Amino acid sequence: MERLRRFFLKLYLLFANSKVEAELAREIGAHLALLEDEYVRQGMTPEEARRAAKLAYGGVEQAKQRHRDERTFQGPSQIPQDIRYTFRQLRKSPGFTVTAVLMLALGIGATTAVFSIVEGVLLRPLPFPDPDRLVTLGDVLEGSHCASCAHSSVTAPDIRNYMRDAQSFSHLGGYRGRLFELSGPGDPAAVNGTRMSGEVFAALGVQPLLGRTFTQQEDEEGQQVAVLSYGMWRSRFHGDANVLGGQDPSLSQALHRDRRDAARFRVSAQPWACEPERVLASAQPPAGGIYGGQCGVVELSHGGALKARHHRRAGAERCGASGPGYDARLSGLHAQSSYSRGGDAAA
Amino acid sequence: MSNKEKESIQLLQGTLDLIVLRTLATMGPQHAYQIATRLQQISDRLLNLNQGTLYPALVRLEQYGWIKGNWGRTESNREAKYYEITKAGQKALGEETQTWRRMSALVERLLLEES
Repeated sequence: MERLRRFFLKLYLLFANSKVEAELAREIGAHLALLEDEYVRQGMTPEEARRAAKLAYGGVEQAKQRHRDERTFQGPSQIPQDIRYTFRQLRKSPGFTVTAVLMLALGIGATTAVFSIVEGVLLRPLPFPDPDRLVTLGDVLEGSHCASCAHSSVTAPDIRNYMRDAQSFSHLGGYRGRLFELSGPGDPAAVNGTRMSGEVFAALGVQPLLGRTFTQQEDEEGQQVAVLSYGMWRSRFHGDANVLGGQDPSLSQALHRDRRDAARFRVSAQPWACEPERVLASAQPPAGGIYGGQCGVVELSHGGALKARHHRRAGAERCGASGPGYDARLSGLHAQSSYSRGGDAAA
Repeated sequence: MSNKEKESIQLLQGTLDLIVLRTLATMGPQHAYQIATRLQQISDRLLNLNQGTLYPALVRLEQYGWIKGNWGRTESNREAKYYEITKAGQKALGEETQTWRRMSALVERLLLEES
């Protein structure tokens, strides 16, 4: 009970300090006066009496400080004093100061960098409306237990088979990273692009900032259409809204490294977060068989939570062309993008 | 250093509270100077105590609600803050006295056995 009472009083006295301080000074003054009186009565001169009184009392400042320590919490009121003292000490030893500051800077910098990476790669959701329902699909040889199976792919013909046969997905499309050459006015530049089928945009559920994306039909008809990343639109085309339409001669010349494919194409720009120099381009539908290699599939699963087993079955059953002996594996797009984002440097 | 000072003892932690309470209980309202003087008298100057040392104890006891300070005038018409023991203080004094007796008896017993 007393302790509680004292605690609250101490708390209160943090704010009523000046009043108590004045009272204390008054009390000490009275005490010294009484002591002086006593010494004068013993026959000292007033001057001597004052000295003797101070001596008997002990240090006035020390007594005051002990009183402060006792009556309230010393932490808060001492903070400014501590800060001043710290700066004085730091000024006195610059070598130590520089070392300490450097270590702090390095430590803070390193942790910030690590957090930024973790935040960007692991924590921040993908910039799509339904990131949890986006998965990649890959064919894995049955019975193989390889570590990289999570990042396996599907061949181009199989993508078409999946698109035709699999029904568990709202949208399903193929994509493949590819290096393009972009020329026209200014220096030609190699850009990291992605060859993708029209359904991918529907699967991701994204809308371009300007213009439109291409459709599956356009893809199959072999229309020359490209979607620019936001970063590229800003840097290479200076954020020009008139970049759309394909009439712009600067864009009509080049698309592929392979000049045979060079053709007019329409451009639309969209914010393609995290991937600064990426042109999403579609030129030709995948030609049967030859396309091979790294071909993933992006799809949006139908019903709420992702049930990999169910989808795998669905894919495998409906997908005769994938052939017996292959198993369709699903993994979240988020994991996939964390894996690949590192290699996505601008060309 | 004089003999007197050599013999002087340090006050045990926490005993000052008990002494102040006891002084106020027996002597009635006192100001700090009186308490200090009284302390020196009864300790036969064995306690080497600056008078300022009292103040922390006084504020502590006041915050516990065991004593209460009021400004008044001395016989010589000087102003002074008189401290008075409260009811809670009386009760606390009883308890503290018990504790002290038990403690000192224990130490005493220990010392007897050792010797």
